[in-house]
Amino acid sequence: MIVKSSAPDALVREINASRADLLRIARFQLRDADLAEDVVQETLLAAMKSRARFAGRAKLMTWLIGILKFKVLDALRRSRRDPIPLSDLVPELETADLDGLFDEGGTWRDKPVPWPDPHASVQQHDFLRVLEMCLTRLPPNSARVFMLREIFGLESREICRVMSLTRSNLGVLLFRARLSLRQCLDSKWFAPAQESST
Amino acid sequence: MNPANCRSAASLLSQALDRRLTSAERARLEDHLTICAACRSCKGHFTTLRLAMQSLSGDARVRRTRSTPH
Repeated sequence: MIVKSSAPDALVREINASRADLLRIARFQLRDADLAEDVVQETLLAAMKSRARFAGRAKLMTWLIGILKFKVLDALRRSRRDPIPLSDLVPELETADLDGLFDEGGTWRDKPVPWPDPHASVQQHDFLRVLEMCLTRLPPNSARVFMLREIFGLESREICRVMSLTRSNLGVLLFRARLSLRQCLDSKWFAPAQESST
Repeated sequence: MNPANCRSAASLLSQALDRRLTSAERARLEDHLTICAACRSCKGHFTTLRLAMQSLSGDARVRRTRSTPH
């Protein structure tokens, strides 16, 4: 491979430095530490091979996540020839715990209020650590489909195919994930910030 | 069609992030949002959540900058 300048060496270092971040995402998806290691290794190798094509137009992490997406989907397709066992899914499709959020008439028990300056929060390192913590609290299948949707940007039909889910079950899992994350961010980030400012 | 309550409105807000709602669903949701500040807040929270996940995806550079100051 022809290396045109010293810049690609810096790129190699940056690619390697992304390992931990990619591993965290892969572990969320695959729930198998060894498989996640393999997938990230394949991703880094593919990135090294094709780094000449990385023109710096996108953020490096965005480019790497694009490669990781295909590797993770391959791994999921290989490992999931059968649908998710219903016994695994039923507890996550139970909406009884959501009943705690709404009264019998379907009205919020604890009404959401606007978050102060959310755009500033999402740029903050500490906020993103809280978000990660909230993600680890999600039930496993809800976390997987939510990250396939929001990190990898897969369309619903692709997620249904790769996870062998119906559209309706996917909708429930994503709704549950969003409600749960909304509540977690509210109590762990926004509410404490409001208390400390009063 | 029955008017939406908060639970069904929140569900529609979530679905709207994953698919195009039907015109009937959109009308039902909009009618509810007009009268419900809590669900308008929920809509903002779901939007923030999407932005936050995008920020998380690109966050590696932020952290490396912090951990290895030049």
